[in-house]
Amino acid sequence: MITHTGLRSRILLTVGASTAAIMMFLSWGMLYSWRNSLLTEERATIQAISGAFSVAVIDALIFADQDLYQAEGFLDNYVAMFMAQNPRLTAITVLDQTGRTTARSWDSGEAPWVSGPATRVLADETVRTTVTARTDGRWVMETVYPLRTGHRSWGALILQIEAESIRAQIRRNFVLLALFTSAVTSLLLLLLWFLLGRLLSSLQVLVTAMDSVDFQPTSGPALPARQDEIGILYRHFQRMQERVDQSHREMLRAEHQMLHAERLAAIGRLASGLAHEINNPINGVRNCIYAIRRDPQNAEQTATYLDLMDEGLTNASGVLHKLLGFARKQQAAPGPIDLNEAVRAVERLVKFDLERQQIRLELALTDSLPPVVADRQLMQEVIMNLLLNARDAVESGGLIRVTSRHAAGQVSVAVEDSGDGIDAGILDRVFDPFFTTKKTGEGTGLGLSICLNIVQAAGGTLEVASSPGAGATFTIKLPASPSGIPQEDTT
Amino acid sequence: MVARMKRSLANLLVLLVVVGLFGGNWLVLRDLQDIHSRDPQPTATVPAAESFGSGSEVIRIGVVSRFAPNIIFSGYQPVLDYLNTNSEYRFELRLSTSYQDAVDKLEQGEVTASFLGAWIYGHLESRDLMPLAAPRNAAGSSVFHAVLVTRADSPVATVQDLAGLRVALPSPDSWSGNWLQRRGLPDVGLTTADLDSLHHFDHHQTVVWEVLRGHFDAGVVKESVADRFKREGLRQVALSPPIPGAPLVARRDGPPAVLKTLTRLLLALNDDDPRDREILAGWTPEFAFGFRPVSEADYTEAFGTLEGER
Repeated sequence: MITHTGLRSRILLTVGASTAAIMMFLSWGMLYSWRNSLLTEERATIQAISGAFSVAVIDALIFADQDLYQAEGFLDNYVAMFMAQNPRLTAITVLDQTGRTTARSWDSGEAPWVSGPATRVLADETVRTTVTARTDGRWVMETVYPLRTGHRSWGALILQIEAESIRAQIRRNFVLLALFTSAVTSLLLLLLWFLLGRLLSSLQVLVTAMDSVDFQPTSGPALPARQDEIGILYRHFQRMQERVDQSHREMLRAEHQMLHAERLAAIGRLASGLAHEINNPINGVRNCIYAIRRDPQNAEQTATYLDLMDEGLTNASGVLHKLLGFARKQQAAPGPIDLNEAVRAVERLVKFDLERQQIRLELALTDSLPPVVADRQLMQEVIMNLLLNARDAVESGGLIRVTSRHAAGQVSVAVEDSGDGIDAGILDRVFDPFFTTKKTGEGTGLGLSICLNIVQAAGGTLEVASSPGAGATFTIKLPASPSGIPQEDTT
Repeated sequence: MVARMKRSLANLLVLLVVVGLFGGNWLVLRDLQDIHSRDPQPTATVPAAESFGSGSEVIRIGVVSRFAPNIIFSGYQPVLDYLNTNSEYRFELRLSTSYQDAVDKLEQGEVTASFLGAWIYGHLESRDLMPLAAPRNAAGSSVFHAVLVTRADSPVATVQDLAGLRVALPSPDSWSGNWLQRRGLPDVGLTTADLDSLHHFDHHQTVVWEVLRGHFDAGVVKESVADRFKREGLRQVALSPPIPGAPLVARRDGPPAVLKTLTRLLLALNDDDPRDREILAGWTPEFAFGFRPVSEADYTEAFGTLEGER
């Protein structure tokens, strides 16, 4: 019973059924042809025997017809001897020219044609041979052989041989051919089973190799070298894998470059706020220098102003340091990070700009937030992008709220703004690359797409929720690092 | 669901294949073993008259016993078939046990005509019989020869070489059974006493077989018989002078219409005519060129020649 319809089963079933049918029809054709040949041969044999026997019978009938001397009971004795010498003969009957039985075999049991004085004699000169089943169930082959000299008829000779042996031979050959056919078919199917097994195991190797591909260079097991069609498949698969690796490397490089460009763009977007942050201490320093020059003898004032100058330059240096740190290309280095700290670091960068635009930034960060495994720099970039987008969305006097939470093994950071919100029609497109609602030159359209990639690469999600007039909320969700999961809270 | 249906179909297919294999083979085996002939059994009964010819009046034709009965029938029955086909009579062959028996049956009216030998006819004292026709040879005449034959490997090259050898002859009532001792040997200065032995057999073929088997060193037979056995290794050594062909003889007071029909039909065959040639082609070589008319004088003359040398 078939319990599954795999490739091997289907091929075996199809080939097996086809082969069996073809072999069967061929065998039948051969058997019928062979049976006809056998019957033809048997007919020729009995007719040859009849012909040979008829020579002496005609002689005897001529002698009888011409009242010439011949031994008493000559023909009966001749029939008996001929019967004894030919075991396959079952009956012989000699009819004279009037259709009367003039001699016959007596130990042959049934002889249906001698039932009357005038029985069957051929109407023409044709020797006729027929095969019949007698009333006792035995099969016989019978020949009616006309005894003629020219047009002169002497009667007819009827010879009968047993035909059971012919049927037995037919049965024997049928069984032999059936066995042979079965053996050949079974052997063929066995061979096919074995070959299919080898083919499928080769394909299984390929399937395993395909499953193990994770777009990391040189990933997956090495495929064995083969010289057949499977080998060609293997080689083509390996070439495809190399092309995929190459594409992946190029994609990573492009993505890295895009990330850097987006980062620079973010710096550009921060520039006005930062310039103000740097200008303030510089102006302070310039005022101190002016005061010191005006009263250089005032050592106390000079000392005070020098401290103020140092503080102002330190602040400016700190801002530049943070900016450089953000802009610097760094290799991704995932590790446990505290998202609250990332939020605070970004907050320090953007707060000048937000204050300048009179936008209120509220942080509602949950204490004892468990760490997440991610690259610190990249996460700060994500938060930076979300904050800058929120800044662009709200007008002066607006509000941006950043909330962190820990629930169900996940750490989330939500950036919520009080802007006009996002139309429902474009909400599902905001993460598409190069999609932007800003004017030309104000945005690349790559920010949210990159943020999504970064969060997903860290095993998290980035979701957006918005309704027109009620602002928008972007939520980063990352799995909490198992090593540092504290008691959950819902702050 | 689809997979389950596929499995069901596959199982059904397997079942059909198995049933087809076993059922088909069972039916084929049954049919193969049914060797019953499809032709109807021959059951026609032949009316007895049909085997004898189409006519109603039976005319019996005798034949001298120069050959075995079956050979006589195979040789003469086609001639009678021709006569039966072309006349209103039904001609039948009537064999005789000897040459003299054939003459007796003719004289006693048991047969209307008889194929006699040239010797027995020429030797007759009764003048109540007359020849109707005799076989024609390839040259168009009706003369034949007796032939002295030996095996191909025999050293006998002439009649003279027969001295001290065994010789087989056909019936003493035949020309071939008389020529050697009456003409052949004396012509070379020999007599039968110079031979080892001389033996007569009933039939010409018997003489040939005895020579070929090596029981006799030489023999004398009709030319047609000698020709027939050339390929079996029989060599012809010497020929007799021309002998008139074996005539079909009838009583002078025989039924005129029958004799007229008989003579007309036999002499009508012309081997130059393609239709007649087709008929003659199925006849024994002795009659392969048809018949020609002969006279009593042909035989008395020839017989006198042979007797005169005696």
